[in-house]
Amino acid sequence: MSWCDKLASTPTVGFTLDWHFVPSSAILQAFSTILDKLVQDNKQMFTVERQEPFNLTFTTYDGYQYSIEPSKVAVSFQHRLKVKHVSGGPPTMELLSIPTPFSKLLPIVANKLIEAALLLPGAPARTISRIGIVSTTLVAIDEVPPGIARFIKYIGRPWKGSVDNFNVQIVADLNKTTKWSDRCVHLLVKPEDREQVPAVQFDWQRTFSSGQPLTHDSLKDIMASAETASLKYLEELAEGSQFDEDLIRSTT
Amino acid sequence: MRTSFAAPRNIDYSDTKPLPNASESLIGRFVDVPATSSATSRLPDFGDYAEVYAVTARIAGRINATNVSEQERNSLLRERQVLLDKKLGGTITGKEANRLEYVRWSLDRIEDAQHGLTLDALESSVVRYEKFLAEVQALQEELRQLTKGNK
Repeated sequence: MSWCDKLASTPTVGFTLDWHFVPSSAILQAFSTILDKLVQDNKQMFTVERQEPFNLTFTTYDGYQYSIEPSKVAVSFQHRLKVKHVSGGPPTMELLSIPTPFSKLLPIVANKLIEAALLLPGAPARTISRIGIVSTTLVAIDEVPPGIARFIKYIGRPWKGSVDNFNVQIVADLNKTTKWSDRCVHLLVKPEDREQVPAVQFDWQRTFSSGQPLTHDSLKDIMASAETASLKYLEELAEGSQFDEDLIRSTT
Repeated sequence: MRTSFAAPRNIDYSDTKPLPNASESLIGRFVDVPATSSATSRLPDFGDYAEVYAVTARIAGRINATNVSEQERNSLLRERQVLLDKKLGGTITGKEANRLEYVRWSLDRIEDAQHGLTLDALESSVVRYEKFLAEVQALQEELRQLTKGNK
């Protein structure tokens, strides 16, 4: 079980494709097979968050957000709350999404993305240049895994650790082969407002040296290898040996 | 009175009207974080409900951690023992020491999932009694002042 499971992290998975401009109405039409299923008790179970000339975003009531742009398609999960009125009492909050571990949510989100990508207008002729897997965690700094705590400490060293709040983004290259290169966007945010919860986000990305075909089998293969590599990197971050100054000194 | 709590698997969508003081009845949107290199750097924004979300996320994390199998917990315990033996024997490497810290953290999370709710309830009772004590002491002080004034 990953640390992301224990901290209720939420996944986002996305593809970067070659550019193709299609009106958002055509995208909506293409996604009708997904939308038609989002009905319960004669009620529409999704909301369209954004519809612009070429962009579309819609969110299902159980927390899956689909985002389609001319060169990107992504599916993310986040917990959704609902204000609920009660008879003779104050309103209460209700969790609509089902608490599920990150490692179980990730394949669900990945399958939804594959389904969505195959529905994109002009899909058979398009290619994929990048896959991204994002882990977002809202967590108090004193509850983060030791490796991430070490990461934060490492960044705050020039100020002798006297870092009250921060918003740090580091993009680092990880691996490179002739077929692909991996990188990760590390984002750490501790807001000044004490009421706001700090956020830790790791956006792992694999960029292909040549476009990958947009077919079911190809997407499954790409996804499987990306899931394995990104989860491995997330575990490395949680252990944090790369931020251990003694180890850094011993290798230089 | 109709209760408001529904099990997550038994969702009631009967009321989706926004409250006068709530911007929307469904909460949880993404906001863009300035990013030069990635278009996917977005964080959830819960506005005034961030605290509610934080509590919910903790509960969700605990539910997940509770589901850790006995086999996985035992595997973590065994790994901790091996690493501790190395540490006590003075043969632990820096990387292994970091791994030990992570394994301990993982076990702590599992323990928190098992006992955290009870401890939280205990803590809130202590806070409530401390508040009550402070109120009683304030009342005593007020009565003492009044008694003094009447003399």
